Amino acid sequence: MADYKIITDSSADLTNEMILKYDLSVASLDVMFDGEKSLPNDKVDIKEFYAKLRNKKNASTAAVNTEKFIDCMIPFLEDGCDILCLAFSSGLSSTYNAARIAGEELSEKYPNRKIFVVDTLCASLGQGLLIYHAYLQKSAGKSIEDVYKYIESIKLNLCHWFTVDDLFFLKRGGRVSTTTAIAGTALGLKPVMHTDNEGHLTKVSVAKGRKGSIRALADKMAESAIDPHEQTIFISHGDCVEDAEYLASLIQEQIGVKEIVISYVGPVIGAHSGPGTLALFFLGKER
Amino acid sequence: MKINGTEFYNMILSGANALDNNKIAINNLNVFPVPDGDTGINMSMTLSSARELAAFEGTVSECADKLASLTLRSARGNSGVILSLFFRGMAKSLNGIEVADSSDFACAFERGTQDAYRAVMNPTEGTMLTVMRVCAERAMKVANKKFRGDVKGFFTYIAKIAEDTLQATPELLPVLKQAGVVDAGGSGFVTVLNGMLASLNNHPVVANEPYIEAEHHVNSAFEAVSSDIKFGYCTECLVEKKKEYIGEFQASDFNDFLISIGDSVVFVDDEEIIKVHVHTNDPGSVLTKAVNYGSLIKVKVENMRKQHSELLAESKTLATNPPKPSKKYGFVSVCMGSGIAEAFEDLGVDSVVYGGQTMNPSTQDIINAINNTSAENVFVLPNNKNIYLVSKQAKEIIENKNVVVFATATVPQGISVMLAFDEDVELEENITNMEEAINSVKSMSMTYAVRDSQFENEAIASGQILGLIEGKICCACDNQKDCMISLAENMKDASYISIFYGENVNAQAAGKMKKLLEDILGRDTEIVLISGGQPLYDYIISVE
Repeated sequence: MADYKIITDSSADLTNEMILKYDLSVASLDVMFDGEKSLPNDKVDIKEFYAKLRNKKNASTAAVNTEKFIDCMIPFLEDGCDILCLAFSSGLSSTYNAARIAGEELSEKYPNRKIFVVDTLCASLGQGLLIYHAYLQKSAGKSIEDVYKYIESIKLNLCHWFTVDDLFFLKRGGRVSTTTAIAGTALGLKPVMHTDNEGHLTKVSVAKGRKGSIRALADKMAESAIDPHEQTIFISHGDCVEDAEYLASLIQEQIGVKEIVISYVGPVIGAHSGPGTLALFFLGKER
Repeated sequence: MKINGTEFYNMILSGANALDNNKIAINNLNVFPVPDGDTGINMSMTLSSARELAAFEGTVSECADKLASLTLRSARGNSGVILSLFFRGMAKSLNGIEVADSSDFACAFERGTQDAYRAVMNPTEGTMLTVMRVCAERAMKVANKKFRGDVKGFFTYIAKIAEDTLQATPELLPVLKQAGVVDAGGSGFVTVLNGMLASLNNHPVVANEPYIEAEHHVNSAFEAVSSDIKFGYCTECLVEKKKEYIGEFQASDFNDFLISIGDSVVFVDDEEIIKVHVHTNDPGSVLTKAVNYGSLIKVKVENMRKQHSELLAESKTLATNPPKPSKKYGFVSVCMGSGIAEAFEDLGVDSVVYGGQTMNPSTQDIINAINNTSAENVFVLPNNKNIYLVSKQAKEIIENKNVVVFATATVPQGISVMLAFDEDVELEENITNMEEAINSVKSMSMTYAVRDSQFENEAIASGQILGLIEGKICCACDNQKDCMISLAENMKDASYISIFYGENVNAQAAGKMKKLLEDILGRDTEIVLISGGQPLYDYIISVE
């Protein structure tokens, strides 16, 4: 059986440490501030990035294109390696599409190699958590087909629950419709949102105040998590690590999980969600 | 002597004038020395609609009927509603009577009292109801025996009974005794009786101030929040009904038509008359439609845009707008501040009724708001204890929609109800959830004392700052800061607090209050500051 490489893109928000540990190859999306050079995700200073966003600087992003994926995949194919590509939600970016096309083209050029491309319908550390599970399967010796099937079967159980401080960023980037206007912003109400089965970001309910919205995330997990005590869950934040830690403590208190990993929402997703985003990822009964 | 219709009308008019002349004095009898004591104004405005019957000629029965109908719609505040229902009971009892004797009035008083009691959920003794009840009981006993053919003597006797009962109200209601006042509503009722008696004695009460009909565009309790004039012609007319439309509520399709061609619809569909008011871009169509229902008595068309010259440049279109689509749920909310109104509209309220300083909305104002909401089910949030009955009255009158009135007594309760609404859930479940939500929030407020008073054996001086919890006085302090500190004692376990600051508070001062609370309550409590713009109550606080 040939060896296989797990490939993804930078919107999975995985740290360098994780990338190394899970033996991944990562194609980078780009982010740029008005009038500045475009930078790949991993070259951006994250604290400086959020400071700029807070100062009302305008940031925009670019998806991974087909060429980049091809360049990324070829070396492994040359080496006789198969490819399992877990791509950013098609509901939020054209990145998956680019990966799919790259996969199809290269399948023709390398007919003896297996290339699987998955539309994770996930984002940020949600995508990261899915990749983590793929890595676990691979470490357990499962074949590329088995892991591919497994990932396809659980991807809709990868729950993403999050809140943002200000819907402005999501609206500006077009990732929520303008009619997702949240009622009661003047009253300090915050949105409780999730990624749905189409990989889109939708508002599910509204909570009273920031603390209220954080508690709502924990409540959502309590409702639908599968065997939480066995799980490693991820939390990503838009430069609000104290809120992330508060959420983590609520979860341990209310539910109790095996491990909680906290990390930044990277610049590419951060440009769209804004500072103050807080997101929770776990395996649940349904999204 | 017996009383005919014209004489009866004169008695009522005299009563109305007496109320109007004494409204401030009656206002000041408010038990809690809070600035929105408005029983006097409410009762006066309720009865003042009787003036529309000027130069009345007809039977007592006809006069009573018309009076009942008018006061029902102009009723404001709980006291206004109770008074209007008393008149409705009287009208039912006086039905068919051309000239009335003492016993007829006695029965009318009895029936009036019954109707008034039925309207109130928890009838309390020591209020206007007691005065009505005692008058009715005594009236029934003496009318035939002592005062047959002597209506003047009858009223002289009853007015004295009423006065004595009024003076005894502090014995029945401890809060009256403590505050050192008699019941305001009772006092209003006594005033009306005295006015009626004065007319019988050929000294009818004359109004001190000329009665000014509230200019309905300036002081309208029903006010569109956006300042753009979408529909340019204020069109009014009075229609004397054709035979086939005689009877209340027979012309409701005319109302539907008006709603489809404009806004600010006021539609009174009475026994014999239709009163129409609408803002539209096609005034001709209103009149063309109106002649189908009867003959036009009065017609008035005003170009509102010409009155606002800066808006002349915009909206030149005379095209009729498409009828507003009817949806499943609509919301009407009474607000007393532009910021509060905005907050409610943000949450999805369709029609806002402005409560105003002490101008509580009338039944008709609420009816208009409901009619202007194109929905099958309309939820009404009074947000004030004194507007609940008026809202319920409006509900009784509306036939073509399902109206649900929630007993919200404060702005925080109203907001809580809005948040509990879920459009994906069935009507019954929504109503249950929304009703539960009323009690899920604690409401506090801060205002000032309008006179010296007593509260739980502590003296309150006029001008002191009052802190209220659920409408009851909790503390009286010399300044707002101390008052807030005192209120904060009751916020200790709160996780989320919203503060609406009023029109007399500047943003800086409000910010300081927020900081004060943050220091007292600690990091676990989240506090949101909103500019409410309300009068009289500098701070309205929602605690949960």
